[in-house]
Amino acid sequence: MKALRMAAVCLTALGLTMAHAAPALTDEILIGELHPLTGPASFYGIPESRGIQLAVEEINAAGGVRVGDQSQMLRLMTEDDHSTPTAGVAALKKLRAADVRFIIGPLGSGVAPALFPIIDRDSGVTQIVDGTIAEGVTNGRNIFRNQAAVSQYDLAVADLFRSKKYASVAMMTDRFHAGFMGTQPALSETLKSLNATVAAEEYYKLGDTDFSAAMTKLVSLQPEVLLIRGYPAEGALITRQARQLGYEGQVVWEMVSPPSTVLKNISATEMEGVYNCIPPTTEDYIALGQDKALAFDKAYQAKFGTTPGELSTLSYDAVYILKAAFEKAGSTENEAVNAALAAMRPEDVPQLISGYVAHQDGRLFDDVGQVNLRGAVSIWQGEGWVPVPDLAG
Amino acid sequence: MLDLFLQQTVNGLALGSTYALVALGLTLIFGVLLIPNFAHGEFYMVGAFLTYALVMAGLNFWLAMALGALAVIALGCLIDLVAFRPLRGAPPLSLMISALAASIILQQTATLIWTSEARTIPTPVTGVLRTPFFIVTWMQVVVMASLILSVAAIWAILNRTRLGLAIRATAQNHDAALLMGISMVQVRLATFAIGAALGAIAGALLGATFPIYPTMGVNPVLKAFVVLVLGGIGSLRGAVLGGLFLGLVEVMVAGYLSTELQDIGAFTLLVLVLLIRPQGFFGTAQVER
Amino acid sequence: MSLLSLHNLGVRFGGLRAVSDVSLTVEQGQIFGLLGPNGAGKTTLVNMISGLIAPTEGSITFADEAGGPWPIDQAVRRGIVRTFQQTRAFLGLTVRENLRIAGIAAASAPPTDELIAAFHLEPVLDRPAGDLNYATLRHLGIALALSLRPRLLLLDEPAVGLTGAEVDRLAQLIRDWNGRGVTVLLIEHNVRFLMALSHRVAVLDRGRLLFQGTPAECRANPQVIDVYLGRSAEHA
Repeated sequence: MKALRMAAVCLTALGLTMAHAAPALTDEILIGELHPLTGPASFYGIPESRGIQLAVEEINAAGGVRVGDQSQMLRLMTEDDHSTPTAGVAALKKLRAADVRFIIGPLGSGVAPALFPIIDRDSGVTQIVDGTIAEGVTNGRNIFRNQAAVSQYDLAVADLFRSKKYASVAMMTDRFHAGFMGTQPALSETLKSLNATVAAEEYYKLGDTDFSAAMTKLVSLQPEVLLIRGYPAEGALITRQARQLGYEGQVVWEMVSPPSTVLKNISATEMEGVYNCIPPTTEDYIALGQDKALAFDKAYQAKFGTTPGELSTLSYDAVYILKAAFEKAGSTENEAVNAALAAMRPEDVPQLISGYVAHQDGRLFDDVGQVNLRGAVSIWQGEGWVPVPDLAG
Repeated sequence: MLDLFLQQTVNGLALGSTYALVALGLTLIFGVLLIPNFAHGEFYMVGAFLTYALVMAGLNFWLAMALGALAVIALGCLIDLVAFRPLRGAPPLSLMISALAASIILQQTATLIWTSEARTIPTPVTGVLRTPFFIVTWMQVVVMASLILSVAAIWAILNRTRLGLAIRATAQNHDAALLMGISMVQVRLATFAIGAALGAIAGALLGATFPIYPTMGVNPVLKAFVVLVLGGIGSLRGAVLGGLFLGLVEVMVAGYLSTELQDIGAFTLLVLVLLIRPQGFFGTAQVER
Repeated sequence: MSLLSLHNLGVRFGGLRAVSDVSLTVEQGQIFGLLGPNGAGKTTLVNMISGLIAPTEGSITFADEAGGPWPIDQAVRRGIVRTFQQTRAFLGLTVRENLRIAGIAAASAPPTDELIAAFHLEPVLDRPAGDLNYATLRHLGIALALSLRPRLLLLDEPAVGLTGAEVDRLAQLIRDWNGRGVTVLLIEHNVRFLMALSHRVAVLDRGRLLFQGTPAECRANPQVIDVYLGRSAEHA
């Protein structure tokens, strides 16, 4: 492993000295991925990392990436960011020291803003964010994101309110979630413009366990909707405590919440009828019977012996988006690859599983590098989420 | 408005009894052995996870809780043996660091075994008690009842048995207890066993209400230290009343001021008590030994 | 028959010789009084015998067992029990509980009832020791020591701060328990009290043994009169 890395470094050094004359002397493209593989967020991070491994293996097995007239193999370098800013920056430095110029990740809403100013100034690296939904972590030059932004989650919430004509809402938001906190005022305004009274905006934090005070207040206000924005363990608890205190209105979640996690914290009966407003996840695409998703699911299970995670398909898609950019650019120079990404259209990447919608000009990424992956409404029925198609879009 | 207040009071007492339950074991170990046992949160966490694992394996909740508590008693004695006994007579800072180390090791081990995903023990008692004035879940009633039972049991052990007398004498005056021929090994073992069992029971009961994960013990222990300061270190009555008081304050702050101030309220209270009555509401000023 | 023998016992604290070369013997059943001006090393000597501090030279033999002094808990187990000038009772526990503590570890139950009767503790049995008045607390301290069924009781200034009547009662109590077979080593400032009680006395001066003999011999000894009794008598 060490020898291999040394060889890679030497070859890259050689490539550098030969400057632009022959940019692709190596027959490998090094791709770095940055996800939490240990710590509390590893539950999301490991399935993302595996989605990338799967895509890289598939691409290499099918002959690699065609860059110009040459085939190049992808080689993956994995770093653990523990979902903390410090570990994330250290991991980025490590990847850059190994001359990794293409990075997929991170997951954490705390990590991405820490990496952003570094990568934003580094024209020698291209990043595709496949996890965080925080705002302001892309630039459309060398940083792109194939995950939704929180504001796109919020679109689905607005769709739901528009369709159901809810008259009032109380919001419970995880105040440590930079993404949700960032769009809180805008969402509140949007809901007001849809004639819903915002009866209360309450906050909690990850790891809180007792919400009785806020829920008692809420029950007394009797809003038609309780909107919970955060992570599923607390989401389940808030839902349960609200019901126990006699809240009978509609509960709406805005959170990535795999049913397996939800059911570890609340019973299926208590979840029945809860809405969730997020972009479709891996499980949704599989549930919808989408061919590529089914194939992905099968391959993933065969390789890892477990079902894919909520965000696995996003990470998988990110690798194919990079591949398409290399091929379209006919180069692995960052500048050329960035240009290809900026101009890319969804149909350029037939392998994509997630349901990206082209922006108005037909491109996959908009001027700030954001895909259009708007939230959709699903409802809890029986043991899991079921898409509610007539509301979406 | 009044029934809202009554409901918030019940909420506060329910929350407070969870604090008191955690604080009981902590105050016992601190009061008797002068060990700031940060690893108490991990007794709580391991108790919750063992109960969860046993319930998942098909055992009855109460049986699972009892077995979990027994295992945690063994763990508590082991922690004392490895982390604290070698430091007898060391300055408090060393004990504190040792406790933190034990706490981190247990958290990491739990992460390796159970991963960091949050989960909840299936509630052994479901349903809600609705009265005209307030609503309370039966599980909350169970927690409050367990607090009363735990206090009664500890009181009986401390006041009605020879071992309890030895524990109290040691808490009063360690050197004099030694002079009276009391075996410190027995007192330590018993104190850690009772403390650990209380932690495990709290973990099992609260794990059926709240999500459990490897670092779940950190916050409750911090809160329990606040309770100790409020109620007076080493005082069982202080732990109970301090816990209930803290729960009430938190709920009232969150209910009538802002949810964002809930934690700030608790710690402001802590600072105030430290300034005004450093020995706590029920503690006596430490007599020089 | 000798119960306790000190062999050339001494201790230094840094450069200071607090006690040096003390040899004496306490017979079984005696009340042995130890006199000396302030700073003569009386309490230091008792601290060494009871195992609170380790001597830097010399040794003790207790009940035919050589190799002492022993650490304080082991000394207690051998029957060497002491009281302190500052009573070490358990102030938060009731008097009754205090008197039960000795029974936790002991093979035989402590003579609780006898102690309660002898020290007149009946009216305060259920009060916390911290609430007792000074004299009663001192009684409790001695009762606690006796509850361990000592063979040798080391009393460190038991009469300090007591009124005349209280001192007389204390003297009677010590005599009573001595009569039941408890050997007593008594340190006391109150010369009259000590002389009246003791079968034998020793005088310490600046860490050295100045005299050993009966109270009558002591009173007649010119050296003792010079360093201690003379001055004390002037003050008294």
